[in-house]
Amino acid sequence: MTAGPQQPTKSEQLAAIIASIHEAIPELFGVMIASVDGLAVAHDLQEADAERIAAMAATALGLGARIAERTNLGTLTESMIRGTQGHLVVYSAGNDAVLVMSGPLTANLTLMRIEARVATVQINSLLGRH
Amino acid sequence: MDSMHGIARVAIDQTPPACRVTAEHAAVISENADALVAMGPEIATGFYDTLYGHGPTANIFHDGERPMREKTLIGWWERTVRGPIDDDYWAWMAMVGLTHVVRHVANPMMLAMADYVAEFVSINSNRLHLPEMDRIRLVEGFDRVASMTRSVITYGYDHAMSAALYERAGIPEALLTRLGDQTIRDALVDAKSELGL
Repeated sequence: MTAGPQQPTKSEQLAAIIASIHEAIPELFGVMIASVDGLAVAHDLQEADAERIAAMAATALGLGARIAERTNLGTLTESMIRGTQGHLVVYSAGNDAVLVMSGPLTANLTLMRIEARVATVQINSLLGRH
Repeated sequence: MDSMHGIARVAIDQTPPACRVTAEHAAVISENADALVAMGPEIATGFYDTLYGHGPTANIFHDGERPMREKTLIGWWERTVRGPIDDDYWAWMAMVGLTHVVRHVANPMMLAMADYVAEFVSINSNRLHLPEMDRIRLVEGFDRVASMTRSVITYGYDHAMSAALYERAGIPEALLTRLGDQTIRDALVDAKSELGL
């Protein structure tokens, strides 16, 4: 008797989402999935930076969502920080998670948005409380 | 923002039962309510003399505000000694925490002044001519009231600040805690270095 194909774990599925984004946009510095309270869940950033970036990304998303809400801009879709060395873009992935992409100024923001649209749905289905 | 009753309940639940006001404490306080109420104006005068005698605390008040503040304190004193010291009482204390936020009353100011009232009772308890055991229980009761008041007001103050950050800046309490942990871990390294530890 042989065992059937093993289902990928949640961690493996999240890692696959990150790998897929990186494959589509190779110039990205890093991709992260974090909880809305700032806990790094999966990422391919430097480990030393992960904890700090997760908390700051969650802060950016929370603040952005409030600004959007209080200034009648509707639901927040992304929060973007643009510095002289690059972008950090945070996307909402349902009520419980955030998707973070960090890349150079030359990174294609439209492509990032397209990738995020697909990835956030997948992340929400994996991490969201349904 | 949680309800005032909710804030008070969390603060009380976090306080060890051995430090809370018991039914015996409340009873000995209310049994002597008339004599204690009579001390109210004296407490209010000393309380506000102390606050107005110190620059940072005096600056909290507007010109001409003192009579109203003394009246409020006397009202609090009467409510405390007549009781009941129940959930509604602690909810009121939680609201005081919120008032302190908007009046910029820092917690060290409040914590020190909560001691003032307990100390006044301790020093003046002989004026009540109580049997020694009752006198001790009364003094202990006011120590507990002061202690619980400090707990509830401080928690109300902290909760108001974190709730405001969530309401206006979208930062949930768990994230705020995480940001605090990350920052304070680094600060602790500097603090230990500063103190040579």
